[in-house]
Amino acid sequence: MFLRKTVPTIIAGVCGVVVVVAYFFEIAPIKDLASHILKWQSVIAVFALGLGGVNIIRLHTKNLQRDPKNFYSLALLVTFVITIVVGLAMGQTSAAYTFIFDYINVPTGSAIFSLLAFYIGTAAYRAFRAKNAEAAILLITGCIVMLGRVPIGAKILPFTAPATDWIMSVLNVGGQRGVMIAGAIGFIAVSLRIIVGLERRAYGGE
Amino acid sequence: MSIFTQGRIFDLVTLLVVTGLMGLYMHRARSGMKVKIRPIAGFAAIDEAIGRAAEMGKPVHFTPGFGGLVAATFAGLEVLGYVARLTAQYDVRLVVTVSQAETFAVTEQVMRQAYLEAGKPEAFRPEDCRFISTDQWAYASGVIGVLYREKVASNIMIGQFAAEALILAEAGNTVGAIQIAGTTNAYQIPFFVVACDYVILGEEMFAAGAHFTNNVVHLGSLRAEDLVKAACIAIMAIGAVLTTAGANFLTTIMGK
Repeated sequence: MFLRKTVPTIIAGVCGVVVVVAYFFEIAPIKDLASHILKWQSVIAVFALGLGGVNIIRLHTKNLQRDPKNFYSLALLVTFVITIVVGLAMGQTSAAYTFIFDYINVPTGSAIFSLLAFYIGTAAYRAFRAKNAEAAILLITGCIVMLGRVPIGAKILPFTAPATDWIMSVLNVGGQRGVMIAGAIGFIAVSLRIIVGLERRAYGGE
Repeated sequence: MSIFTQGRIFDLVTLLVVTGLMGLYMHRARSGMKVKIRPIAGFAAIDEAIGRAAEMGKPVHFTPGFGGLVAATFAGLEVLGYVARLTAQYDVRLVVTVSQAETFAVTEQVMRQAYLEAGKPEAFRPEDCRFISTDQWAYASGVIGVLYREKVASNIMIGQFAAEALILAEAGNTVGAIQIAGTTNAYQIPFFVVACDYVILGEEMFAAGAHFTNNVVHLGSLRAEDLVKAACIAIMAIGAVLTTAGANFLTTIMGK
């Protein structure tokens, strides 16, 4: 109980206070300590990554045991092993590793990112159905902004360009800042509760 | 040479005042002060989402997002604790996907604890807490795969989300899941609003502890947060009037 609950709380509290003090005060030893803590954060994250890797291997090995024809799990395990072997044996700057990154990892990531364009279309189609007053306002505002953002729109309806500027710089920014300020206050509250050990449930405590 | 970092003195004073207020109201709440909180539709809908999954015999999916161990993720994990307890009670399978390794370790612990509290520690399946990838798009494609393959009845996404938010929400919509989402990222909230059934807006996420457990510390903290928000609005209004009138002393003080 002491090792699982109390020690993490003490570590979180001490680290939190040191980093906060280092941010506000010019005290060299505290700044050094905070810098070490931030480095340790990266080290711990690497250990956690190992834990994540084990989870991936365990899950997909089980999937394969259950269904040997599970192509996705097999593909994941094979690419996982190849990438690790190439990275460890030939180095991260080797041509083989660069090939994996530039010609497999980056294009597949870009392919998933490109899905966003289609999803924006389907989401907009649903959102722009004027089912009630709020949806109608969203539809009208959306149409004004879309027209105001392209040269031909401003040519067809000249008022859309200044209206778009007003919607984006007054209504949109006002709403976003409200969310950001309230979110920042919430961040402070959660951080304080973690530093003083009152947020143990969030990391598995009671 | 000053011991204070220049340009951060006002921030320090503000932080101390906010900390003091939070400490005071947490203490008052512990001493019996009544704090009423308004119902938040997104949190109330979680019971409905799990009930739907129980009726359909399908799993619930939860993800705390793409962020590391930041405040929004902790708020998401608070909700996860509640979701996991409820799914354990109703014998509904809960699949959790995580993108950051450090969050994965904490998430697994939160799930274990929740199943323990529900009196069903044996029902926790470690393979249902899945680390996907630290790469944003690999994480997105992994979650899409889970949503499709597991045919989830309910999709709950509460935490830190970035550009992958709409991809996940649209995938959830395509599989016909009831969707509850929440994030503090102002740029992603509109995507959740159009694609999800219920949205927990920004700071509402931080009311999770108070909403689900009536924890007095959280209730006191919420009251203090409301007071700080009111103070921020007052300072903005006064600052706008003063700056318009040509008096810059408020901005000078805040720049210290």
